[in-house]
Amino acid sequence: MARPEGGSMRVKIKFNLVDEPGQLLKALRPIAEFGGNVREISHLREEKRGNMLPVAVTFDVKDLDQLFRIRDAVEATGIQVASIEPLMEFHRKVVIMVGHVFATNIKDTIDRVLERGVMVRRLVARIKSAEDVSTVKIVLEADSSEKLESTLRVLKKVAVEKNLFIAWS
Amino acid sequence: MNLILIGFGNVGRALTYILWEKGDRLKGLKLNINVTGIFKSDGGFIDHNGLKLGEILEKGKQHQSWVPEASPLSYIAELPCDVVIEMTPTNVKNGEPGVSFIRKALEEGKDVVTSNKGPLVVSMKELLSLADKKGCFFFYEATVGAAIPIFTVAREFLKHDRILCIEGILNGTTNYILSRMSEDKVSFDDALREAQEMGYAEADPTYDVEGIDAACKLVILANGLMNMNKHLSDVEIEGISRVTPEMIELAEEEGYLVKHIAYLDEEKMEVAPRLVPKNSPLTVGGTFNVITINTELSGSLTFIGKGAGPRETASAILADVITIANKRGGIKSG
Ligand SMILES: NC(=O)c1ccc[n+]([C@@H]2O[C@H](COP(=O)([O-])OP(=O)(O)OC[C@H]3O[C@@H](n4cnc5c(N)ncnc54)[C@H](OP(=O)(O)O)[C@@H]3O)[C@@H](O)[C@H]2O)c1
Repeated sequence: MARPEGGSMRVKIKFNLVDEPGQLLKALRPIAEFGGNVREISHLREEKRGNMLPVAVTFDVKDLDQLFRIRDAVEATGIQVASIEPLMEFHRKVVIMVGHVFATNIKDTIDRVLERGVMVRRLVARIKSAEDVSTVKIVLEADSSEKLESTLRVLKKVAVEKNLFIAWS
Repeated sequence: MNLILIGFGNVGRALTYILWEKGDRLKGLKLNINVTGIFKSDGGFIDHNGLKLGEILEKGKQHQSWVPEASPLSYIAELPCDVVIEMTPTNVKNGEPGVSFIRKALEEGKDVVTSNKGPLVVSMKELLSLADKKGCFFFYEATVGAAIPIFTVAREFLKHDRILCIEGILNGTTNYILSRMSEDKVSFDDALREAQEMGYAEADPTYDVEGIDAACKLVILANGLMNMNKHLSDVEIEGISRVTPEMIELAEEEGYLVKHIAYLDEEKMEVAPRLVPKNSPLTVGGTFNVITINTELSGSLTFIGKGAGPRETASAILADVITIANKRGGIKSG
């Protein structure tokens, strides 16, 4: 199943693990092996039945193919997959800005472009000196690509206003 | 088939050379090509019976066929001629002198082939409808991506289909600069200087570096492939002169390359530095050009090739001439 460039989905998968050391690692290994990106792990102690401990792992995959490959690989280790729950589809856009990004108030720039449902996942800056231009990367995530496109449209306007040079994915 | 060549610079000479050197190959295609006029800015080589191309390449203006001050405008009607080939310098302000030459040729009922973007950026619709009215062919394959046969493919193979969007790298100089910056960590200024030394970039590289050349080509693609009526002012343009090594580095950490991408769909025309996934077919290096067209039925098709160069450009011109010869049922006398 093809998805638009930069698209991705987040899923929560619940395993029933035998409550003994090494089990969790066994379940996580196929996720990493097939390129899943783990975000959160929670042990559902209150749902424990006998020696079986349910564990919920939240991770990102590119598409359903990747998800099914991971599920099959987990099951092949003998671990039982109790449920798979799609959390959300999310989209990512990387924007890199060059200019006096800080002197022109980066907080204002970001506040103005972010709308509901869009968040800054990561911000990386390369600064040489106060006089020099800096280069700043922001990784945006959103639950729809339309929101990212409209964020970009606003950002392009702000960039013109603040004389920032941008490139985007 | 009689030809008149207007312009005897890099491309005009390369075409003359190919016609001379590959004469036998062309005869094998049952194509008997005769050049009756070759024009420069200050005169022309003229022979009603066909010029001796080898001698002209060797002797230049010393050749006996040279007529000082001869202008194509007065010779197009007079000389035996089926196809006029227009290869004068690009002028995107008013399209001249190309527009006048092409208009004159079409009014005289001659088929026209050009490598010159100027007349198309300024007056494409007018010239195409004049060609239509006169029952002439007007081909311009060489103007975008040199020998990449994008217009021919669309014309001959995608009649049943609809092009939804086009994206690509349409300028070899900027692609060379960005590739050098990314692959070899060369600074923008050094990469530009190199491009100039190697003859890729003009002494005044503004048109390339600021994205105007790519925008002109995007206009020709829009009008030629998507039946639009666009002008240079319709394109949002951002150049690459502000790309920093840090920008390239930060992009690479996310799996992207910085590329100067021209993009076109029904709503938007844009030339700008973009972050392109490393495994995308758009990440060609060096001076290469690439064009991807996304169509309704054929999906996505990508073409890669040398985007410039006298020989490649002349080759595209010759391909257009051969197409015309075929469509005209071989040889039409002048
Ligand atoms: N070079 C490439 O790789 C390339 C690739 C794609 C497209 N193109 C396009 O192809 C065209 C030709 O390029 P080029 O590199 O061959 O340019 P060029 O070397 O500058 O040659 C231009 C030729 O046009 C002649 N000319 C100028 N004004 C004229 C006039 N009023 N009447 C008659 N002839 C005139 C010049 O005459 P003089 O000899 O007297 O100066 C010269 O021979 C340009 O539009 C260019 O953008 C070039």
